[in-house]
Amino acid sequence: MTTMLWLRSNWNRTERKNGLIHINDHNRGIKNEMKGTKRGKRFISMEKKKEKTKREDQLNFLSLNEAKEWLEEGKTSAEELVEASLSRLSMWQKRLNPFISIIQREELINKAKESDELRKKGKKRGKLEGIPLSIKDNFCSKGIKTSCGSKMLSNYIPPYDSTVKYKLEENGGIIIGKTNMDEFAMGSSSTNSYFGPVVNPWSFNLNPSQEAPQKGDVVAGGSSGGGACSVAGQFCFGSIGSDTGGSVRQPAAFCGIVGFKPTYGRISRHGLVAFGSSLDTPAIFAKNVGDSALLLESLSGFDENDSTSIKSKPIDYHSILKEDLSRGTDLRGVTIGIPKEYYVKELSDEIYSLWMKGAERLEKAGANVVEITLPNTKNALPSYYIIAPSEAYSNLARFDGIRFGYQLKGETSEDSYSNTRSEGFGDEVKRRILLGSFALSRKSKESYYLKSQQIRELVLQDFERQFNGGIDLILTPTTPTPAFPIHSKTNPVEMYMNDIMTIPASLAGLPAISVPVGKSTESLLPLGLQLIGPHLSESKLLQVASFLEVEHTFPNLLS
Amino acid sequence: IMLSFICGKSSLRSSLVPHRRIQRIERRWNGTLQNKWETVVGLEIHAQIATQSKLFSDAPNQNGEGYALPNTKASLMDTALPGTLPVLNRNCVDNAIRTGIALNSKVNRTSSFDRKHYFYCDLPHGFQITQHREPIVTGGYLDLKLKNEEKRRVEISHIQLEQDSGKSIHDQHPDLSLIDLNRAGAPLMEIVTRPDLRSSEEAAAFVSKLQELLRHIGTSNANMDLGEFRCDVNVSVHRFDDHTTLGVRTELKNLNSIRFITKAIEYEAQRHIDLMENGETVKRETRFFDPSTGTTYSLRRKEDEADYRFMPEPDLPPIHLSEEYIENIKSNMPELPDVTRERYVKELGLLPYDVEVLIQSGTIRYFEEASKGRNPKKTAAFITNDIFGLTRSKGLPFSQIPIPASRINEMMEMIEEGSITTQTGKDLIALMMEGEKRHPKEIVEEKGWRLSKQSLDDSITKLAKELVAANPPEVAKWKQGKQKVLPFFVGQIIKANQGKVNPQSVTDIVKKVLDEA
Repeated sequence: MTTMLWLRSNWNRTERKNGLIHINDHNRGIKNEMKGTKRGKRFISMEKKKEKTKREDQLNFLSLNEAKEWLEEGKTSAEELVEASLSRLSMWQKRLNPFISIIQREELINKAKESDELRKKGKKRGKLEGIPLSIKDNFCSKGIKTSCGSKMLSNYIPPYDSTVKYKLEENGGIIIGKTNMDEFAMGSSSTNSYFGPVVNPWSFNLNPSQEAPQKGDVVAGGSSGGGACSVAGQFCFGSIGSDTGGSVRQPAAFCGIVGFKPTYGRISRHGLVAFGSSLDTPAIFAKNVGDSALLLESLSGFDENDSTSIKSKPIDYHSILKEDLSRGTDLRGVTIGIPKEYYVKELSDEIYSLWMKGAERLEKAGANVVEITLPNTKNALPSYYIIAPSEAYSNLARFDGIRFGYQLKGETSEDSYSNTRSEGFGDEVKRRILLGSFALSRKSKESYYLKSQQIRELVLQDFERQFNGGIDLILTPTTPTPAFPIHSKTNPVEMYMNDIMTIPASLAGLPAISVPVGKSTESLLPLGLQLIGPHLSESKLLQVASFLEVEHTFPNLLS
Repeated sequence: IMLSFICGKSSLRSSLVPHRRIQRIERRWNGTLQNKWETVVGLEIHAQIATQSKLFSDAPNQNGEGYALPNTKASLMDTALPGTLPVLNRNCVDNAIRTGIALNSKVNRTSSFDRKHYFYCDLPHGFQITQHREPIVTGGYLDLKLKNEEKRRVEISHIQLEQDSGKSIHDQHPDLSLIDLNRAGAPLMEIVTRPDLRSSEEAAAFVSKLQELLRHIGTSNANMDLGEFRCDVNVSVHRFDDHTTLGVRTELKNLNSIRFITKAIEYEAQRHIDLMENGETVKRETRFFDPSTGTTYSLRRKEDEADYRFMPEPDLPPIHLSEEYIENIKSNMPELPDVTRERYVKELGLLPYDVEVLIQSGTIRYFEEASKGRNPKKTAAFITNDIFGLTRSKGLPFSQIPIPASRINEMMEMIEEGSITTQTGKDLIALMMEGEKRHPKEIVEEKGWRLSKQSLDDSITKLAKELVAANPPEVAKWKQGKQKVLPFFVGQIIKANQGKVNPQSVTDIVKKVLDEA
């Protein structure tokens, strides 16, 4: 049995009383250890302590590829990287709340030591050997709680590993924890978590001695907000989330990192707790485009446990990118489409001008930029908010409290279902289950569910028409606005509008990547642009995305 | 008690039944009370597919009577653990295709799965994966031979693949329901007929013929008592002279034997008739058959039926079958029972009775192997008389005959060579039935049962000469050309040898001795 600590913020008082182990215990563990060191060396100088922090910062702020090089060159060890991550987390977890579970220190150090041993013996397992990573808390992990941010699964420990976790570890990655999320991946803000909201590391006046959230904090986006925060906050070198309607791209844009949703089926869903099965796509958070290429290579491929996964040969995306750069390849011969339907009334002026600047940049690199039309775009959002809840209604039917998860018994079995589901699910989840139940019901199926399926088909046809007509990739903003203050959007529909730019690619199953391109002059928060490509066009997408991101370096966060 | 429910509506009846039959029947029943009404029956049969593993998981699919502890044959997917996904078992698809081909159906090149939702404690996912819109097989028929030798064609609507649920046990604990998920996810074929059956007898005949067919092609063991073959029956009754509409139907559940099917249909049809005779209407509902009283009672009304909120199964891509794939299965199909029947009688010269016994006992393959290169008629007689008799007396099913078919083949070879007699064959069978594992040839050698041609001929000649010497009157008759005396001598010699001689060679020798006398 894996030993670990359940992390939780202190915001939920009733739960604290329940005697679950929470953040304080974890901090105590780390602090005690430090104290121990201090006791041993009483006169440890402030100088040395500062040096240690400096070194840790240096490591934490490396990109995945840099960390990989450092490991290869012997400039650091997996053990040191893990120590640096944990040290940083011990300071910020409570304030930003990116993780629901963090693997116990002892276990992580053992794994890191094992990795360092293997490397010494020349038995590197894969390209991620010794790299600290994180996965969203809806990917099953054997022996480690997988809560989906829900009370329903708050004590659920799966007996098997998801393919994503298995592949990361097979390639040598060290998973340091499970990231926070909107309950069952339903939301665009990561504030619908049973374990408290995630705070965007770009929020102002962050003080590690406080607890999340504070007035003025902004959201990390959602639903995979914890994953975005774990990478943007420099706690690990990459993270895997799930993108159903933008749940990786939107938080990536809000947190100023790369969010990459590959083609539906490129990465296996086996072990990913389902929300909208026909839309759910495991997706990547990375500090830059090159890092996301490396992660994609490690994760993609057919999985016999997922019948919707795609048979494809592993592609060394990262080498392709590197070669392109060294050859000085430009974007001549690449046609980029700018869809006019994405110029919506919700779009902020700032993002609009960044969008145009991005187009200019690609044009300068040699691309041919043209205006295109995707006429069914306006129907994509309502269609998504019928299809995804319908599938959620179905997928969440198994949470009846009988075999696993939370249970609140009643007089009859019906009472028991009703009590369990009323108490175990949060409001947004209940809202979507009811919506899906309505959309699929005999009387409304024709006008809601089936109509939405038709719209979905039309949205796909819109894209295919453009891609078959000479357009290589499509450039759009990722979100209509930068990150918003926590709990500022109380109307669900207003919240749903956040996904307006990311949903069409989800409905069509197309690969799309959000790349950080600048900061709002008004709010000083990051902004992102999205590139959408045809099915299985990941290589091209990464190539063009690397042109978009090159000129942008971000000041170090939280240091 | 129901008398008879006989067909009448051309629109409902199969094209095979000639029109004049309707007129005849109408004439026959005209004027009585019962004949005003006609019963219409349609069946929905759930047959468990005989595969090693379940429809969407690699957990074992329990066939037959094996007993496993509760919840030991359920995989993570069968218990609906979060994150698990269904993966289609190709063998189940092949078996459904095989069944479709055997029922003369169309195997669809594209079919797909749907989710049917309802909450019940033995349905772990909260939905059943089934084929609601695009079943794998559509159309087809099964021809029945009715008692009066007429043929009745029963059309098949479709066959769909679907998962079974688990089992709820409500009577083992004072206040808890227990759940066993060993059956959850087991593969089923739902075979749905059109309302082409016209009586309880026809329904019973259809059920046993379908069981025979599924067993024959090996797609289901189809044992009703083991739940491998479950039958829901739709019954309606309408006026004989009303050729426009069917009556309101009720669906009957809990029919786990052919006898119950018969009884339930008869009871239910009479209930409909009584209602309508009294000016009341039949309500569309699902009813439960109570075997202890032989009656049915209402389970739920149509209006109370759950809204299943069908949705395409997003975790499984549609099944696409190429023409070659279907053709390949077709070319590897065993011969169907009706074809076997005809061929055995016409080409092999078997007695129709023997053919029926072989088919219904499911021993066609056994017979084929035992009779390869041998006289089929004689082999069939050995199997249906001696082997079946002894197998039955040992209390074994015919699927477990203790003697390998190859041994029977070897024995038949010796009989046909004349190296042992038919009686020796019977003795051999008795020995092998009792666990004798050696080859028949070895047994015969050890027991000294082999007929050495020369020594046997000598002993027969000796005996024949003795008989001739002892019976001058019969010899005289022979000399007068009366062939009738032959059996007198032959019979005694065979008897003296306890039947272990070849009658033909005895006859030859006797003739020779008589001629020489």
